[in-house]
Amino acid sequence: MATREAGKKMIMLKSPDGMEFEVEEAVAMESQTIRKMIEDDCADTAILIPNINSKILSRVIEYCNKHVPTTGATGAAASDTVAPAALAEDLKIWDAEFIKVNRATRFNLIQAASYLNIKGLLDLTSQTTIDTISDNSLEEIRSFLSTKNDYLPEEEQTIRRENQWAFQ
Amino acid sequence: METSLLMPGRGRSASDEGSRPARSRTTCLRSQINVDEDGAGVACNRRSGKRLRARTHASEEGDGSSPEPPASLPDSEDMVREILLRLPLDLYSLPRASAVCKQWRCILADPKFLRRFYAHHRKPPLLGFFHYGSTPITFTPVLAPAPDRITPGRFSLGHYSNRILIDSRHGRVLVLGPHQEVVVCDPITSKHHRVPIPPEFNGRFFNATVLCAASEQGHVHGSCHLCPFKVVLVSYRENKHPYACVYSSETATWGNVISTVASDDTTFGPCCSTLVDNVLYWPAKKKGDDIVEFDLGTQNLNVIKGPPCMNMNDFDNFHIIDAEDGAVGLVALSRQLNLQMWRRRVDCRGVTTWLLQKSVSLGELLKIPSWTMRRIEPLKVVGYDEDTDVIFLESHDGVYMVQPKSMQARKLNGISSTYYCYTLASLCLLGG
Repeated sequence: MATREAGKKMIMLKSPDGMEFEVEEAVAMESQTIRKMIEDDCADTAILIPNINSKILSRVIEYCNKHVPTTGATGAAASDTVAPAALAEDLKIWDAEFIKVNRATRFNLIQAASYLNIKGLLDLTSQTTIDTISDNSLEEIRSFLSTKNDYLPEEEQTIRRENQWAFQ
Repeated sequence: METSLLMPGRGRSASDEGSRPARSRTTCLRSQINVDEDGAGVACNRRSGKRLRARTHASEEGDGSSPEPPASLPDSEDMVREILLRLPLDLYSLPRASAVCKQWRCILADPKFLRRFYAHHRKPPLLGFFHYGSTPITFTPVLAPAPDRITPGRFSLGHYSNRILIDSRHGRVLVLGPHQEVVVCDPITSKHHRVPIPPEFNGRFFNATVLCAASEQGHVHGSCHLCPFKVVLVSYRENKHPYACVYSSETATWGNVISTVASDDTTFGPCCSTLVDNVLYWPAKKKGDDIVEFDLGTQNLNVIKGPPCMNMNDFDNFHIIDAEDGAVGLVALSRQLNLQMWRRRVDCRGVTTWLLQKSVSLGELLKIPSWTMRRIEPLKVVGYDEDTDVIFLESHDGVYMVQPKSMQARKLNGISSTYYCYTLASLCLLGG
């Protein structure tokens, strides 16, 4: 049920746990998946976002809200009045705060960003994960990601030996 | 712990509950968040879960000492691929990540993934280099972990394998041809392009450079085989008058000869160029600290000064490098067996200074015991690849690849010494 409010077209997003979120169309269209649905005229009623619970969906909307190109009251793009570098810096600081979440939430955000095709959010969440683990030992990486080491000891030894310099 | 999930946003749909974007159903949202307090992402697949499956079981192997509840990566391989795509482009990350588990190794060996990985970093992989082994010119692979194990000799310069190597860049290798010509060899397609040199350079010593001339915005070097190329020649009259000329494959013609005057007598010698942004640099030889600079955009040829303390008596102990952000830099081997990284800075008044950015012990970097290093022949810089930011060092015990910015080093197998490494970087082996 797309509605109009103060001249702005609104879109209803529904999470599988029954929550509904009314967001501006421009905000929703930060997601390329939703953009395509809207452009294909598949978004007359509320859009059901499968597999993304309301908690995660609310965070995703929060991200999109911040990152949607803003327009001022006169309709002029905010970037006309604020230096682009300052805007970018502001967003960077905001992103750094936004991503201070626990691992489970971050992983769910990666999933959501991937499904909804929101490049900036996918970059932020995936990059933060890689940055967290890239200096860790293999054991620490496995522990952090709860990934099982399914190599036989001799297989792991072979891999380490082949690229010994990377493990010294 | 979970309060960060309720961190007020700063969006425009601010409500009296903070600025959460979901303007309606505030109470419901609150209660929903409380249900999910453990953050394990359990609610996602209650109704439909085919496209994105979330792992709902808490891990048995979580970090028990951490106050944070353990969390597993979603078991969708696509998610893992998205994360691994952001691994740093350095010498160690891919081989190390391959050892985490079989799924990661499988992904990291997949040519399609690797193509995306290098495209994401906007850099081609360094496949290896050409050098004079036992004549003729041979190819030595360096890619690790190699997607399909590039074998030594995988690439060849064909019947130009006995000629003199001059330069390599953007997937092409430049050799001196037999008839007052240079030959641009494409080892990937096995095509050769002969370019007769202009009369001003006939019979004279010259340095030459080959580079991709693709002009479309956002072009990433690595699949340049169908793109036009340029060849730049630089020579010198009476040790004081450098002059240059540019060949364009698009027009198949040489441009005008451009010349300049060095501030004092400078003996120029054979050396490889370094491309920084759109400017080429060649070091001068024997005397002083001069560097020849040619701007491909403005077609300006200049002689600039290198770091004052440089010992440029030989080309073996330094290499001009791309110091990022359009700045020219230099790696140098000091007598104290340190690897120094210099960067040239130009201030708003046009005054230039060379700054020593970093100095690292070569013993530590190459993991060679210092007592061994003291009594050996000095190390040599024997190559540099701008695209992958790798320099090649030769020591008494072999040839090393060093990435100065990540400070990682790797000893190469199967090569004990080389005169110079002419690198080959390309996306070609990773499929289309």
